[in-house]
Amino acid sequence: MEVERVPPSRFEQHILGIAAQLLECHGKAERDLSLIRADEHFDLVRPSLRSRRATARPPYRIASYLLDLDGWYVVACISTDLLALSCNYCYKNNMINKLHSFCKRKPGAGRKAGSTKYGEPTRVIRLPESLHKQAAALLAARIASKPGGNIADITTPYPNAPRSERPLFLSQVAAGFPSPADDHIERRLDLNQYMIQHDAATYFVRVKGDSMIDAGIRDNDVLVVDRSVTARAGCIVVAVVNGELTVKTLGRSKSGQPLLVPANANFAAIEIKDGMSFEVWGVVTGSVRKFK
Amino acid sequence: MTPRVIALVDCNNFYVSCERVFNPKLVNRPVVVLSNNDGCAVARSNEVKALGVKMGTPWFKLKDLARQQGIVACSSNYALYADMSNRVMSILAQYSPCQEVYSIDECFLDLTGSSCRDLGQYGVDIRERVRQWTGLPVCVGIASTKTLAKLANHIAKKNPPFNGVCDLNAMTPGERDRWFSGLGVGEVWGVGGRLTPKLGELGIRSVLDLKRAEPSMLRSRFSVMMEKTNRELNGLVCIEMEEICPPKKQIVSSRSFGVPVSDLQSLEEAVALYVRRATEKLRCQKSYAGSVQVAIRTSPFNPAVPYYGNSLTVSLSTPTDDTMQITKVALWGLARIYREGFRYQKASVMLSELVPASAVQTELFDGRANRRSEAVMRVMDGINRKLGPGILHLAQEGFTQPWKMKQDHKSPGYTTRWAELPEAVA
Repeated sequence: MEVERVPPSRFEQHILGIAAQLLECHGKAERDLSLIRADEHFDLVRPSLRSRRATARPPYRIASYLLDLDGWYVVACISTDLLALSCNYCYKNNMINKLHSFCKRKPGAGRKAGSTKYGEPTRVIRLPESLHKQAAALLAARIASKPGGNIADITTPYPNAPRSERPLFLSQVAAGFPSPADDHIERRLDLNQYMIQHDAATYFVRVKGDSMIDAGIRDNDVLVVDRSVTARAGCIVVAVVNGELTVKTLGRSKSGQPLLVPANANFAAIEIKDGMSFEVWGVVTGSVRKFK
Repeated sequence: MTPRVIALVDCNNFYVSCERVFNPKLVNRPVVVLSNNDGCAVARSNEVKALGVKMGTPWFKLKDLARQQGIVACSSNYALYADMSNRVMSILAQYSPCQEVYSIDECFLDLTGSSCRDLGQYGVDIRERVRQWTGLPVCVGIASTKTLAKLANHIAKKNPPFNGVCDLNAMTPGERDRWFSGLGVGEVWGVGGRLTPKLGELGIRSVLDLKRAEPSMLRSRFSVMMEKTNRELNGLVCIEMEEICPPKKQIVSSRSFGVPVSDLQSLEEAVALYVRRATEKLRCQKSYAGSVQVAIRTSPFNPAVPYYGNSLTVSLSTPTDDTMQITKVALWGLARIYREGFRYQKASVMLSELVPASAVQTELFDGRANRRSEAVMRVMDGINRKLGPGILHLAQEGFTQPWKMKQDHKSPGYTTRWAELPEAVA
């Protein structure tokens, strides 16, 4: 389905172009196009044409095109056998209201004589106002008594892209024995749930270095850091020292200053002195390591 | 009747603050965050504001000052900001059953009827928790209407003695009016730069002037919105909390190119990429698009080269959220507006006539094509969520994308990519 805004003067030329593309798509030859041309089906969009119900309905409709003409939509549908071209012509917001269509009729095509909802030919007459209700009730009763009657007229659907498949069954009906486990389904274990208490406050931080090996934290491990936990002495924390993130165990020096204690004999503790910028960034609540 | 209590919580210099959480070296240094394509400053740290740099100043104009003052520039890292925003909003949701997320960095909370006696203290709690859990500084403004809460927030932000929390409800009317008389009318929510001089002509210069103005006069001179603003300033709620933000009516995806492009193929790549981004958002908010607009233009700022800009709106036969279908339509449109011989600087894709996916009328028989497209899109979204945005994309997007935008100073995806986690020295 393609849509384009074209000036009315170019419309005819345009729809011919589209028809050519269409033919190509469906493996038809150029002469098929000339058939359409010869019949001058493209005049159809003129509002002066007398209005008819659209006849190009599935399964005949194979392709339709929509053109936007100055606020009006013109919908051109071309049928499989290229014998029919119909154009819906309607205002943008009022899709189904105005409908002009045309179809070169194959013998026997179109509405059969007497195929009205009453099952016989109809004629127009003028009724006095006072009889209107009675007549309407009579006709309604007539329709209702007919088998298959009383069905609202189907309005022409919004034309759509080519659809050739018509599935018979949309879903399967299972006929086997229902699974006895159906009533006992539990959610599968989720590592996030295990590792994380406060979703909004939890961050992952990658470890670089070996100073925490004895605490089970190795180079390249992913730390689970929960910022909502208040840091106490003894917690493993990620701290900011002079603008760098570092992971250590939080302690207190004799002078009462914070102390960052490594878990590796080869490293010395860092005592936070006046003038150093220091902040606990978050408390390490877990660590994740992948072996492969 | 218990008076309404509405709080506005707003992050300070949000983008800059996000960068600082993961890069503590930026603390106390002048930092700007640049717009897409490193164009202009969209967020400034207080240090930069103090240097007199205005919002939206182009980066090239700032380069000299940046060298002198050591200003650090960051490219915008929206994945990080969005994640931090979600964290802040979910923390704030703990404080009220009624939350309106107003933008990426601010939200309203309805605290009416809260059992808490001292709302000022409540505000302090909110501020401290957000600070601790996310590292982001926020200010809290508390008042009886949304407009007043906005003002309270402004007062809290600009006046350090408030420590980031200002409760207008706790003030006497006299105190409030004193604050209002010292604030320009332009600070009021909804009164923009355009209306300020107009109000000035009527002698309305301060917030207090606007508060005391005659509502019917405001309505006739301006609009009903100005009347509502006046009533809100007087403590009468006219703008209610909107808890569920209505789905967007339009989705736009557009970027300027890093380098201008002339060939159709590069433009096609860009348009295909923008369609993918837009359709991802579309599916995220569970809507279908009824039409696609594609637009391209050359730089409007360079008088030396001829200007060309054009756009085309294409209606879709049936509303859809299928990236492939929409890409096809957008590229078809692009080919029709593309002219050779121009150096294009920007392309954009806009999806409009959006309808909720649940309300789309489908064909009576043929649901199969739809379900197939749905399944494909689900797989595509799933893979991209798992492995990173854009891992799976249409070949139309190309692979090298030489036109891609400049992001020379982008920070890592600290909270969204395993390979880019912050590092701690052990």
